[in-house]
Amino acid sequence: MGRREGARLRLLVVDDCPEDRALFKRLLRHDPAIEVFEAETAEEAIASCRSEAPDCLLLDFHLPDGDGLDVLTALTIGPGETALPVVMLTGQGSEEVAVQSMRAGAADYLSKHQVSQRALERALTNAIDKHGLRASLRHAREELERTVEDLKRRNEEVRGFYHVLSHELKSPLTAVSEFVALVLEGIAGPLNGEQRELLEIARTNCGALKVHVNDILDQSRLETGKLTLEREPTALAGQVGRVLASLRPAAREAGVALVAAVPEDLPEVLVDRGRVCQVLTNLVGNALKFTPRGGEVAVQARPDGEGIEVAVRDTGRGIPPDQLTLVFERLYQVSRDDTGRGGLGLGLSISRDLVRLHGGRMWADSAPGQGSTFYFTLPAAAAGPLEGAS
Amino acid sequence: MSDRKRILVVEDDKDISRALTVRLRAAGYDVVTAFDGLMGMSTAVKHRPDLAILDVMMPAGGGLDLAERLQNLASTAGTPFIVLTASKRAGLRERAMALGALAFLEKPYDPEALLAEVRRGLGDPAPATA
Repeated sequence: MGRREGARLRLLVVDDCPEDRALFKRLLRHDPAIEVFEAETAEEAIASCRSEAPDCLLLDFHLPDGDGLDVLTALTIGPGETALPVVMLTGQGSEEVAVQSMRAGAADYLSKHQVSQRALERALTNAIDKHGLRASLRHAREELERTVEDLKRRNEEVRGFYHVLSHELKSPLTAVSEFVALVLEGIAGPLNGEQRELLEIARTNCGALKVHVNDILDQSRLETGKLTLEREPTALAGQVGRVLASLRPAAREAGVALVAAVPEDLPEVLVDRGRVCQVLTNLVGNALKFTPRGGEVAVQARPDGEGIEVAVRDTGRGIPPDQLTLVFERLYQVSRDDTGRGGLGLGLSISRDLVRLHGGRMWADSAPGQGSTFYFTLPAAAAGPLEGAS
Repeated sequence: MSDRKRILVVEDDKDISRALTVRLRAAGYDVVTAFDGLMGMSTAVKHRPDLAILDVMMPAGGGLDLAERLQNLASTAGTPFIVLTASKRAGLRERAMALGALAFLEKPYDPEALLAEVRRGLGDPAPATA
């Protein structure tokens, strides 16, 4: 950076006063590496910058055909940045001119009345250093902008890929689960007990695969704002009942009691039923996963301000305080080694986003060893969407 | 010609088409199949189905275009139809419903729900469950 000792420096001195130019040349004569060119007017200076390609400009502010700012403007390549370092020569007491020049991109200024060999050399060195720093800063910024653009593009590509992927998985998945179901239903002939048992395992796994494929699709739709809700006034108790009925076999197998306390007389909520069932299925499914045999998972609901608050409580091992908000992060998951149960880590993040899309909010409360409770709110049908979705 | 009711399945995925055919035949229906929109059109005119199941994304005219054409054709107008899709593209459901679709089902579809819609469209009673 800057000018190395003994390196050549092509300096263009722009001043209409021959005596002043002579003075600058004399002051710099001791350094044979400095080659001085001269110009008398703004026009000449600009032309000379093109033809002589100087390394630095010593520019008098007052010129016969304009001022130093005109030259700076002609040399500007970006906000406050010029193509080459410029030291502006100002008159006595013209701080205003100095400030203007620096704003317009001059790298330094020098009062004509204080010109000494040292001051001149220092101004030139300073200007060249500063110009170099500015240039490398700009390069770094440009590099960063390119990187950001690149990352954005790649992110789009990955997102698009997942979208296509999940679509492409749907058709074979539909075919597989249909054929398994057809055989299970005995349409292709009677089954013995073992065949039935094995196919039931295939069916269960098809179900898990469907959830994953839909999660990936939902995630990409939520990210791109393409997920839309079809809301209708809904009695929550019915939806909770449906979800719990579908999860009862899993609860039985896990040895966990599944209970609901949702008053029938709660006000109706204005929701997309399928999406609310998805949220409930996710929360209750998670609760079942992390509750040991003999425990309990309870779904409760009560009026809350303009809507309804739903709580899914379990008697599992709980969530450490530092992870209570992290659990809603995309791709978060409890480590596999810990539980033997993985997942895409999308379920809670999708659930929270779906609740937010309804205008509600979702949060969790837990203490290690005390179980966890996941809460969410939904807008009442009469009141319209909740205010202040967070 | 049997007195069974006839269902036209227009689906370009041969495996899903086969699965639908097996399921619908097991439920007591005649099934004719087509694998794209154009073929769906000619099959419908030829076989006069009592109900159609149409996939949305297909070569040579998707299911929704086909539905529109069928409704505009004297011999097939009024045929009840169910739309089946793997796409959740915004507006598809609205367009299907505006065209008069009986139901809009997403893949992977629930076979029970599909059969229930078929019976509803044909005015058939639900079978006694075993």
